[in-house]
Amino acid sequence: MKKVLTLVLALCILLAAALPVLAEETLTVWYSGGVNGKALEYAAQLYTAQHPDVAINIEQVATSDRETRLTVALTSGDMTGLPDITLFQDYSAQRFLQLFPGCLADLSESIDMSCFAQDKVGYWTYEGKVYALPFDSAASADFVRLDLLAEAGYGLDDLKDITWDRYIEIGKDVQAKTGKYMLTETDYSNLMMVLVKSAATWYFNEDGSANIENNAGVRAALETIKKLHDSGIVMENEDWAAFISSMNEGKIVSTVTGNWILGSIVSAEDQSGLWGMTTIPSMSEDMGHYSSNGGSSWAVLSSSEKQELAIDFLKTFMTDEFNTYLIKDLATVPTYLPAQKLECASEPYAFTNGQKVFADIMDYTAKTPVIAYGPYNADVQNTMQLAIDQVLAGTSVDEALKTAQQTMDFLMEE
Amino acid sequence: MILSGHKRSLEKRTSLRGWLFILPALALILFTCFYPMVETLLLSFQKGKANQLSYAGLRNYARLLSDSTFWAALENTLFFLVVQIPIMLGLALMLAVLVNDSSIRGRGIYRTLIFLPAVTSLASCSIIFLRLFANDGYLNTLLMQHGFIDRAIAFLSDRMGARLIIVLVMTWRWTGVNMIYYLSGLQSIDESLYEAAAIDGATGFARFRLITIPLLKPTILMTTITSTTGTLKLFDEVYNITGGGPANATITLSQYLYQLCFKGVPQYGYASAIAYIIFLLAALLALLQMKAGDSK
Amino acid sequence: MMRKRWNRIWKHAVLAFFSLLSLAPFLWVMICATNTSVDMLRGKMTFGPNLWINFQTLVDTGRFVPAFFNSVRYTVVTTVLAVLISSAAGYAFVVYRTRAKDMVMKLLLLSMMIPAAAILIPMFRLFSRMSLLNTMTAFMLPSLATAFLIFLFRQAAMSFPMEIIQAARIDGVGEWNIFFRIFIPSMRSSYATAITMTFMNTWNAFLWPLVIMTDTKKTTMPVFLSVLTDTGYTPDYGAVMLAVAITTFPTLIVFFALQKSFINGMAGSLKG
Repeated sequence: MKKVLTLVLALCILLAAALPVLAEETLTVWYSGGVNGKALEYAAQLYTAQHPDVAINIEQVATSDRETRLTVALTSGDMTGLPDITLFQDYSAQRFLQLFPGCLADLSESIDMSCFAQDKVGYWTYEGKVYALPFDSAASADFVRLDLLAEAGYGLDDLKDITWDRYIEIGKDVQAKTGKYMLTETDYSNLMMVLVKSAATWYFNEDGSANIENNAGVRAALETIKKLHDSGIVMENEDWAAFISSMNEGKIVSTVTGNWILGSIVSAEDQSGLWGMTTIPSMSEDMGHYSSNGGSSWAVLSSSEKQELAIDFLKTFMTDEFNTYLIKDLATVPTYLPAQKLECASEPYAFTNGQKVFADIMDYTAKTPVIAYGPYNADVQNTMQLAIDQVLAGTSVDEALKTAQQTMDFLMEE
Repeated sequence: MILSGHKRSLEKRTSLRGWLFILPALALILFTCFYPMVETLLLSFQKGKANQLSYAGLRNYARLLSDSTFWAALENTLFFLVVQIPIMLGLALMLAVLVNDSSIRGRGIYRTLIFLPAVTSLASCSIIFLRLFANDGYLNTLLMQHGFIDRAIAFLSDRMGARLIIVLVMTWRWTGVNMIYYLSGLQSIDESLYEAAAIDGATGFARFRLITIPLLKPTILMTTITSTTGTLKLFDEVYNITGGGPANATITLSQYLYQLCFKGVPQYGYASAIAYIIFLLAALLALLQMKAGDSK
Repeated sequence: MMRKRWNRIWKHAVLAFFSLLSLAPFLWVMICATNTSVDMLRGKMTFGPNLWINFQTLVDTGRFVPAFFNSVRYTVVTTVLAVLISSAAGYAFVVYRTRAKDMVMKLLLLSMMIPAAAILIPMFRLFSRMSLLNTMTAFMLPSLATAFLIFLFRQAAMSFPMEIIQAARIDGVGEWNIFFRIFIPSMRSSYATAITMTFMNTWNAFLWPLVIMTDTKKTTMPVFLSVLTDTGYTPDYGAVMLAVAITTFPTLIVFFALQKSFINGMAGSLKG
């Protein structure tokens, strides 16, 4: 009798200990990049505070590693090692959507996609459905050192809505007067994408075929890069670390890239108040000042058994509390449109000399051309890198474009 | 008759015993390597993107002929093969002999230091090599300070410059490893052979040529074959340092294959065909090397 | 006498030159490991006070310590098994040499001629079918027998005096005992080489562990390093370099521990 009692008691204790574990559901989320991790952590905090029975397990996996893992698993049809939710580069969206149809859960039924910047929603739309929750804004901007500009006798407004030709003119003058490079770059691959999109075009036709050789935007972009290179106003860094350091060390006057670079710029705290932001130059009068590069979104994998829960968690990204944190603490601009009305969005920002950069970035985001990506973004980026290298080494733009067109046609043939 | 028959059956028995030693390794390699290789071979006869594959016969192999990236990669790979391997193996052999010289004090330290690059992470080394050769890098700064040049040399954006940097990094990274192979080969050479030769009046170089080289032949053959296949599969150095640039001047077959599988739209069939070109080249060269290594 | 001294000086000069070339990047990694990220990017070339802080940063990721010990565990087990299995085969290819075995050896060599990336997906499918994803078995199995190691031992065994084996057989020593008691102890320098190389290769393995070990708790050091450099647009290079430095130590320790075997190889043990 005693024995039975102890047994029952022991069982009860065991059950009691096991129960909360059994009731608890765990969502696993993959992300990459420091800021994304912090944002995710905060969202998890907010969510679990309201849903104590849910645990959010966040795991960092480097971007290319994440894509390799997903590609291998999806190709092999064994998704056991994959998470419930993962961050995706917007560039890669169509590659996964079109090549592994059905690999992501459709979010358009459960989330109101009109709340998000339409360029982002566009990247993630396939056959009328949307497969990811758009996250950060990748709108391009020209970040400028105001003090150096002033030293050469210019102001921020002198750079606003100008052409690249004018930018080079000013750059040469600034370089002569301050001894600093006007622009900082790595291998021009990011700039190339910024320029092409600023002409409201992309590398593909509507039917998906490559559109390079006869694409005025692509041609102008290559020509602009050639001009920039030849002008001598660009500091060409050998890698990303050197690129970042060129800004933090005050070796350059401006940088043209996605607004996410702000996160790196503000890490040089001694430069607070010295920076300003304006629109990027246009390649010609009829091409635009708005573009984007980079950026990512959150998707739910359809292999997940907790899709509903995952989607419910993603809705945290649409709360005021979360978006306030994103802007205020992480200097990251969401593409969730209602965030424009948040108080913090229109507050003056000390690092940029009081300029309300977040409101400005939201304005740029809204003006970013809506273009259609294809599955071949990574391939075309590689191909265009070849074209850039060729043009900088003296090949004519015509020939480089022709080669690029042929390379893409070759890669895309069935 | 009876005796020789007995001997033969003993030989047979030991030969069978021999297979037992080999069996575990053989089974593992068949299972984890040859089986996937057969699947890859079958893939090389299929076309299409990602999982959407269909049989295409030899089309992938035919496609290679008109693929300019493939030819560029093949050319680069062969360049690395021809230029880098002799330099590296020669250097490794020289260093091994020096480090093996018992009259050299502190050779243990030299040995460790020269082996060091093999264990130093390539990812971090790429940073220092890039810094070294960047436009405003250490080398250019040094050359300009001493007035050898008045404009920075763009090593990394020059086709030959970038290739030579890859050769340099490969040599830097793998010489120590090959030195260790040679060193362990040198251990099996009897010291008394050298002593006898020295008494006969053979010079240092003659001893090296007449004793070291012939007795080291199995090791030399091994290092030649492994370096050749290693270079044909070259990926890490290029991926980390030049990324294949400038303008495909350093892209290798293996890097192109990796891009086709995991970077862009996956083309497994086509990538598998490239894999088998690498395979055929490596096998052919190994065969030739073995022929040469077995003669004499 | 003079000539001999010059000869020695010349040799030292050559060795010192190459040693220095080899050491420089490693030293640079060490210097960076003691500095802040900012100092590194500024090109600081002297040791700094940041070592402990960098170490804290690594530990605080919560993944460094497990990744390190995962790597140690997988690598040690793999190395021991791989060297045993492969050396037995390499030995047999020479000692029990037959035409058929020579053919098999040549066939085995073919297995190292295919790029790893090309067979990654078939291999993943194979292990997925056996439900071995996220297991140590899956990590180890493909590296337990490699054509390279077998070949290394085969070539080394060629210089092993067959008379010794014959003598042992006459003394009635069993075949396995000849391998374990005579061959292994006499081939110390080859085993030292094989252990060092296998340890290094297994320790640095990236692509296969990346796809097969998706469970974060099972991450190995190279995959962790990849995560570390991914932290946003500016990685903490101080911490990254420290991790890189720490990553190199185990192989170096193995190399050091086997130092003696490189010099006192077969020749020494046979004489002794």
